[in-house]
Amino acid sequence: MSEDVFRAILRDIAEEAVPVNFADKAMSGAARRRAVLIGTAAVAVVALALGVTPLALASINPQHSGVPGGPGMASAGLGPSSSVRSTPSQSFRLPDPGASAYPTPGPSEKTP
Amino acid sequence: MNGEDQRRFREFVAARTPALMRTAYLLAGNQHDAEDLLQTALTRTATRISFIRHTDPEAYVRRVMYREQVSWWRRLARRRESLVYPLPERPTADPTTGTDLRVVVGEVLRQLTQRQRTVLVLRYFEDLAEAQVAELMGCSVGTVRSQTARAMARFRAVAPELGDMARRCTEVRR
Repeated sequence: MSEDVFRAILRDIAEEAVPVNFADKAMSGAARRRAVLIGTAAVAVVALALGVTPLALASINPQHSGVPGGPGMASAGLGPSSSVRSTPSQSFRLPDPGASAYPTPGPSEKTP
Repeated sequence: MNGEDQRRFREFVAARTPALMRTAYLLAGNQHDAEDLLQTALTRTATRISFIRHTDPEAYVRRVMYREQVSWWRRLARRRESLVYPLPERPTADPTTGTDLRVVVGEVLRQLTQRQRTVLVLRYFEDLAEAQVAELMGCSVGTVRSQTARAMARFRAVAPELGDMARRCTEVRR
């Protein structure tokens, strides 16, 4: 059996198919598919907006976000800035250069 | 879809459904699956008919059918539906008569994988070159060749009386 016979057999088998008019079904299916696509896109946009809006507001005005901010963020508020001055008692003192942290033996009484 | 597009789509479906149905029947293997395949392809085409105004809608429908036939999702759905497997009967037919040959070839076609059947339909029914088949199916030319060889080997294994035809098809195409 040659290749041509195989082609003829395939054509013969294909003739068994019964054509059905799918125009109406395809068009209604396309409308349904389009509606599903639009609905899905709308839901996605709304979900994105709901997710993004609080984050955007938080980045614009951190006081409303409820997240504790750092010292730099506190001064960015509407109230007067509270500058903190360090008092001498609170300031960090460097140790004396001559003073050692370790006890050193004092001058011996026996030595002249 | 506006009125003009609807009219154009209806005319196209009315004119080309018989030819498209024949291809879908060969691809799917039975009337029910062929109708399902063609309707899926036509629905997708109707969705995009406004965008394919300047091209041939039939090429678009055929491309959707070929891709859909070998798609992973469709295979998965088909596997869920096919609860009853065909009996493992080997067709015994007299190859001297055309009717018996048709029965044997039809039975072997149904036993092939979707990919193998699609390759055979595209090459021997649609008469496309290997490169065109590869482009339509979204695979390499080597894959098309290997699928053809496997399909022909299946023909030889299931129906030895078709072995000569299978050997010739493989040789001629190479």
